[in-house]
Amino acid sequence: MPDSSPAVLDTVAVVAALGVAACRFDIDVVAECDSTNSRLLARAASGAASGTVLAADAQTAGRGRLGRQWASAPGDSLTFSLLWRFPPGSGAPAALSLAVGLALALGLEQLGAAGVALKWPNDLLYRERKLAGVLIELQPGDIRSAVIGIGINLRRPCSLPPGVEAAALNEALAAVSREAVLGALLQNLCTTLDRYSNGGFAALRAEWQARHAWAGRPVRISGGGSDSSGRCLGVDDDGALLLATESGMQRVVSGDVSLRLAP
Amino acid sequence: MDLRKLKTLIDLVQNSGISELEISEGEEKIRIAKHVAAPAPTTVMMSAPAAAHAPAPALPAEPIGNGLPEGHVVTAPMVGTFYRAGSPGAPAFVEVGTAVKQGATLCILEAMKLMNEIEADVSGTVKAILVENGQPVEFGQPLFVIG
Repeated sequence: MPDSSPAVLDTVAVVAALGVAACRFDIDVVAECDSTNSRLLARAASGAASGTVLAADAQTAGRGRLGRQWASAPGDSLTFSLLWRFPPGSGAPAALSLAVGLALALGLEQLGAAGVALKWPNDLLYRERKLAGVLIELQPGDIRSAVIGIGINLRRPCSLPPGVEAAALNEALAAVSREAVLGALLQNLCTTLDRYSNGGFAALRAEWQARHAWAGRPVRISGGGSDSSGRCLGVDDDGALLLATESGMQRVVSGDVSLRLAP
Repeated sequence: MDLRKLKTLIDLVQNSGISELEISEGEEKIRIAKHVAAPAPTTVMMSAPAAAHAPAPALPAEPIGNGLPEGHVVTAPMVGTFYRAGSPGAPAFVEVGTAVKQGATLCILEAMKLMNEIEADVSGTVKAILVENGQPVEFGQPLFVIG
């Protein structure tokens, strides 16, 4: 490896990058852990405050959705989890994945990245390749408390498994420190999640749609009960994907979306 | 599916050693289960794949009015897809007959990549699992009976 092993994230620099939003967060950094989501879920169960952040330089058992593995090497990516508690009386934060995706896009734009797009429900793409992923787990027994796991590629690893097409932030952005990235993302998570709390996803929908990667494109939905295909119209006020199919408009709340190649 | 075909299938199950038969054909799905103790030898339940609920499995316990065994009903706190295991191919969290303690994970509900682990809110034995893996569920829909 040409680079020397990067030091553990500097929390002081993250707090400096956060500015006034720093008071909303409590940031903890570890060099290595199995999964920041699992650790933070355990802390949530014992009463950790909203805004608790756990960042790891390397995850040994990072998870994607339904147990898929998330590959992360020190320095190549930024992986962290954020505990967010919504006010009493609110329902399950159903469109939270979309709100988080938008917050991440806004954070990267604030740093100067252009061309970051959103794939329903919660992936960030750059030039049609995955740049960041999100895994949200609600605290068991408390649907208003969410542990939001985020992994973003900072630079492309030397080796990727065959078939994996990934993008990295250094394609979209000149050199920027991991602390500055984490600071900008947390700042925008704070403002975006506050807006989501107050106005629901409807308040964020237009901004999400403006960054929708596959608007108007033919897509296939797989998993989540039944497969279907159609033209991707956008998202509804509650975050559901709207699909124009041969039998009319269909709302999709579950499943994976993939681009369908033109016949 | 026409009634003649249905009758043929019922006869097939009735006259065979099998206790349950499930067939999918295009939009339709049919499941025939033989209740050993019930007076009628067979029951038939049909559902379209997109229907909000899946047919209940054959239940060993004596059914009450609504067809569910007696016990505490665990319902869905949100709309989503029902998963019985943490990852594809992994063993299910619980089976009918599993003894669970309060706080044990029963299933995962997923909607728009929001994962919600559903825990047992009482201790007991899983009497019935009312939804099939991968099926969509509605808010408030019964998922498990714990007795």
